Amino acid sequence: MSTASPPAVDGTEGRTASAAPAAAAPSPVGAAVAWLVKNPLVVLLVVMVVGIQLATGSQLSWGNLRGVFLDAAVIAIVAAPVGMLVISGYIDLSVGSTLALGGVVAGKVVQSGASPGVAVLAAVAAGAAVGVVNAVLTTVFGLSSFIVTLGMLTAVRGLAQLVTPLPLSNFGDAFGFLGIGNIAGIPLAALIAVVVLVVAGVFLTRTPAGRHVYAIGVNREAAFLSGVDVRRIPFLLFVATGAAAGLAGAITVARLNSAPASQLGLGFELSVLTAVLLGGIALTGGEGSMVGVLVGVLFLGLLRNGLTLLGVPTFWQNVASGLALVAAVGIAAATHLARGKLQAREARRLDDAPATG
Amino acid sequence: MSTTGRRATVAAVVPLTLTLTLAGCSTTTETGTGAAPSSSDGGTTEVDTILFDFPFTSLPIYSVLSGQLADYAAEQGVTVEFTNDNSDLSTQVSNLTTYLNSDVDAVVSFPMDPASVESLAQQYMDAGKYWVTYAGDMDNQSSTLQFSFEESGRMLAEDAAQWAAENLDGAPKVLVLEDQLTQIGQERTRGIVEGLAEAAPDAEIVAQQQAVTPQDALTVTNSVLAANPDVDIVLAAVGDAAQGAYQALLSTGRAADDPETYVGGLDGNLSLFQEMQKGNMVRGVVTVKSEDIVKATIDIPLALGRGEEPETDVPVYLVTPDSPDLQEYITAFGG
Repeated sequence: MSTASPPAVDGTEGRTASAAPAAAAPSPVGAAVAWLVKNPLVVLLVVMVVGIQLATGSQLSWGNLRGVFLDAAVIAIVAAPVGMLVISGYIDLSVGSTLALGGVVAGKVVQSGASPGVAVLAAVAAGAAVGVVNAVLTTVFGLSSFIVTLGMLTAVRGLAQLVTPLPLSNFGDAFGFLGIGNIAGIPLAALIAVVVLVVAGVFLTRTPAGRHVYAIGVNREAAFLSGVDVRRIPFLLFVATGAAAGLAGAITVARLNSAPASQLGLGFELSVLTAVLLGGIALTGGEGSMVGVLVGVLFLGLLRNGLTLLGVPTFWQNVASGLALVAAVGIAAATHLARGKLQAREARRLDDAPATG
Repeated sequence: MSTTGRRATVAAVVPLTLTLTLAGCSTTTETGTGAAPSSSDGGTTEVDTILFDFPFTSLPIYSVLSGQLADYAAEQGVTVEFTNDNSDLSTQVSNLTTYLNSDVDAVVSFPMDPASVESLAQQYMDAGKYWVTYAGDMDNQSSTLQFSFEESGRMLAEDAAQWAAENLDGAPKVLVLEDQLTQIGQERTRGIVEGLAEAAPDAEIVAQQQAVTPQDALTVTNSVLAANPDVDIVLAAVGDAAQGAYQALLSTGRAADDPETYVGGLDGNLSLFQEMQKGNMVRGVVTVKSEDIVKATIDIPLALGRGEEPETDVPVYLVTPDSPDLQEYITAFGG
């Protein structure tokens, strides 16, 4: 939270690199080391995957990865806008229930005979409507986003249950394609997730509004005094988050071929938040990148998958999973400190370098 | 469903210690059925209002039961009220504490952890109300509504074993989707595992993983199939998990009607019944009939109020593609 500077598109935070004169650029090896220090979870991810692959021989099989990607895609689609919300200093805890609402709305619409496209749009609209409520209460009335979205988590779940007290099922192959279909051999849901992450990454790093997200997260008052619209941007991020959760609901229902309102998305908000925090987005706002979100999502999915592949008993899975997540965050925090020292040293090196013109 | 709007507000403070004991006292021990009437003076109390305390509100069966209960209660001239425990023990205890001072005459409670509500049951009885334990037994109770979870698991395992003997060459490989987080889940899982060991001693359980919701089961089954692509049988302690496993099998390329795969689960589930009717690889579901549960839930307290000995056993049924009443289950679950 030391800066409002957005990350570079490659996911590095880029403020020192952009400030450095070309002549004083670090060596490729130094740059690689600096990148790894900034992204320690990537190292952990690689180590974990290699270890599990050696132990089981099956984590990197396409059949397994396909399942992991399908799970991760739903989380990533929601984690991208949630990540931006957290960067801007807000939070949305209602996404699990919004996913359920989007799912049951999609199921209801497709069972009424509408096309899958219409069903998806209806799910997105339902999710966006939840996002509007969150946005109005939070950004217009100034209520705490934590409290508002926690309340909406319960209220929207009840709404979803009212829509369909009994689970809907059997939506047909056309709608099912959204959940399990492939394009060029790649799951459609994963492709959607990639598009969402790329759009979010480009928005954050290549647009003024994206830079304003960081500015609002670092210091809302300073951002306001600098002319940033500190209400409209979070408002739109809440709506985008709701819409994304609605879309994720439609994908989930299409994959399950069923829409149990009471069970869809249970604990999903914690999975999303865990992935976001693992990815290096600070809960206090102002810091993070979409590359980090992607790594966090993959780490979470591959960790759970790996524990199952290893045959770890249920309760030990919980222990191992929790400890691994705490360790990952701890290492990330430690490298954050190391990164600060590296930046300070780099700054001193630049100060000592002779002026080039 | 006029009564559903009358939810109690949660008002009592719940001792944290009550939430910590999920240890297992068996729900199939000697029953206290026909014990003394609940009122402390040994008399009987006319039953006008019954509280139905079913904590697993996320299960499809809850929606089925709550709708049918309201209708049947109206037929019998009594009012039924519902708690909303949201599958949470502390919420269940809190709701029961709240209703203790209400005008309900009897409670039919499905205790998530019987030990945690023993004292509450005693308080209800001391207050002159009837306590009927749903799906088990407690030390303090006026009566019980019984159906065996362990036996349910055993029935499913035996059917799967018989199917394997008739349709597979060699030892079947089995994935068990368990539920170790609740007492009923533990008993069901035990029934599945022990039943399988007895009926198909050569079967190999390649993985035993926690999964209750369809999403959990989808994820877990995908992972297990990556390491064990030759799984022949998936048995789920919760029917909704079986549904997720079925979708996972489809997504790995198995035909919906694959003749060498068996998917089965406990609890009715509309999607499973429909797939079964189509002749797909969902081949066994063990469930109760909702109308049996509904009648017992109302009739047992009414019998107690009249000072009669109630009928307490609710049968469980194995539903297979050959079951003549398969369509009735589909209809009951909203199909």
